[in-house]
Amino acid sequence: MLTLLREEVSRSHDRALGIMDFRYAPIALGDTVTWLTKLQVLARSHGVKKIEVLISVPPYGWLSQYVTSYNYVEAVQNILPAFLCAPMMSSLRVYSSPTNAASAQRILGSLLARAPSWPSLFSHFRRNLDYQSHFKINEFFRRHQWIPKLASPKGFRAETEAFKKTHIGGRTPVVINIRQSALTGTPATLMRDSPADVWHEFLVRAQKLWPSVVFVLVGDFSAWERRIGLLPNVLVPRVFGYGLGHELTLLLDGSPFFGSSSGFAAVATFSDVPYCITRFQYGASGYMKGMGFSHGSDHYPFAAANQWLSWVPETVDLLVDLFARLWNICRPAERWRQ
Amino acid sequence: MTIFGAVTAGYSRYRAIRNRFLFSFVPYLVSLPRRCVRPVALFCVGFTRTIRHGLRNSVRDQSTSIRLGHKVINNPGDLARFAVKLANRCGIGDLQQDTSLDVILLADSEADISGYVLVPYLRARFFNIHAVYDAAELDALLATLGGADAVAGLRSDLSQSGDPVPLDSKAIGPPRLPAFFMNEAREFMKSHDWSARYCAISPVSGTFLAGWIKALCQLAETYPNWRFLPLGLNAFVTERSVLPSNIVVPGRAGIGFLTQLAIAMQADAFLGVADVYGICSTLTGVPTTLLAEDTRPAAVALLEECPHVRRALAHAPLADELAMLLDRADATVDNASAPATGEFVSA
Repeated sequence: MLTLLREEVSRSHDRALGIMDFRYAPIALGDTVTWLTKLQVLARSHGVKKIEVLISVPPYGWLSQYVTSYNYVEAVQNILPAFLCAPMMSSLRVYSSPTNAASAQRILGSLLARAPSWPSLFSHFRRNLDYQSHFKINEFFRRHQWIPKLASPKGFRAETEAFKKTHIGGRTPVVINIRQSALTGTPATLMRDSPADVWHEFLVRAQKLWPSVVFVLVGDFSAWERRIGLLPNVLVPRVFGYGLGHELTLLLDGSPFFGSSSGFAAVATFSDVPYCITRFQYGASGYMKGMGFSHGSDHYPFAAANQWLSWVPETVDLLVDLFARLWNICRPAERWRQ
Repeated sequence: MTIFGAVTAGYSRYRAIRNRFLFSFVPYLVSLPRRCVRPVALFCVGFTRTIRHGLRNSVRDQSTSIRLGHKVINNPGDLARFAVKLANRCGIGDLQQDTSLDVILLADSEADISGYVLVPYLRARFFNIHAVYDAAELDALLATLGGADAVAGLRSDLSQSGDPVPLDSKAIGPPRLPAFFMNEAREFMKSHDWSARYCAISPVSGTFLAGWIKALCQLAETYPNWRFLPLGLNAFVTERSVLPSNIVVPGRAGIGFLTQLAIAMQADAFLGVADVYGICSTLTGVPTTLLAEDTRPAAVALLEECPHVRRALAHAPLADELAMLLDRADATVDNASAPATGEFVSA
């Protein structure tokens, strides 16, 4: 009689279950990739090689300030490619129903199999998700001296290569993200926004200083100013119909990242690409402490030598200095690649 | 210490204790239900509900749910094939509130599945998607979804990959996208020129630049009230190139995939290949001309009895085809079958 449940239990033994329940989890790129990395860390800690991502999209009962029963599908559409960045993912299940009966069967299977899950089922039932902190990641790094990284999402490589061929040509792409939440329809934590004037001036100067570089401006379509998009050394993939999946592919396939502390910075954090994250927030350091990381630390504990953070507010000179440092690191690799 | 000093000190101490009580202890007491009772209550409700729903789902009659299997291949026409299979399986009015839709995807490792997760919104608001990347995973997944009878149909669905899928007559009927996308599409067209008529275009891959712009420019004088909306990634011309004023590319305004589907459904005419946009306009009843590509076999086989759809070859003279289409669309000014609004969900 309970054959399906028995099958669910036996299927749960060799995998970790990641539950992203949008009744309480935030829909944001940075939080999603941090969640995904923690899920991979959990799976590795328990010695399992597969993860299963369960996304629960209830059609109503939303708690978020901006996501409602009217626009939730758009939010899902925008964030979906981020879930495809986990190389350990063996299956993806999206449940959208009022009762969540089918997802309950899956979770019950995991509960009975005592399989690892993130968040833990105890936390999931309490709708309590630690989506920000790096404590578990730091702890895993302390034990193993490595962490599982993100990879480019499946299915976007061919179109991204076409974008590079058509629009970038022989220039070197550098992915930039200027946090401008105030320009969007869902403004949040505006103190983390970067000054557009400073970035515009930096990009104008960069035309002369680094003529072979093209800055690929990624992020929400509304989150950039027209004057920045009009610069000849700036490309915005979204005006050519490309989306988050293509931007993530471009970034995770090795283009250096330079930008403010936001969602794309979190993607770079959990990858092998060279990066410099500007305007890192003092408030955020509390969530990331451990392994010697504190206010003003240059690197995350698990970062490579070519991955670092800047804590001071951006000025044009600071951006020029930071980018010169990043460029000096990337240039030998670019030469070799060419 | 003077008496005055003692009174002052005593009063200060009293104020300190009172403030600690008022601003620390009272808020703590007030927050106790939130801090303690709420998590416990949530845990009890969540745990009980998971057990109840999980057990009920595993013993329920699996034949009440609609199931669709699809093998996702890295091919531009495959999403259209999936949309037609979905429309055939979930005809208009088939999905009731208590019927669940399960979509099982066996994906090629190089295929993008995000479109497949979104396309079911054309037919249903409540559904479950199960995507796996290899056959062993699929077997384990199917075992959790039903008995041998229920799974047999799915296996047959999943074994078909590149064959053209015929469109059933019962599938014809306006898809129901969420209201958000229908509204965004309508506002896009209204804000550009509310009084114009719009022809959605899904170009043949790689042929847009030269031939299409020339054909659309030729038509600008004959049909001054028409605007053309190229959809999808093939719509993009080179960076910052100047387009004639009667061509508007929605993707350049940050319009996403589902809103572009809504544009195909709400436009006054459609010209293009039988991709997912073409299928949407066909299902909706928009006057449509579908172009068959020489280089690719058709993903879908359309009904003969679709009066609003005309088939043409991709290398046919574009200006002539467009002129015929716009004349047909002008003859049917009132597109009665197009949905005026999207679907709302209320608790």
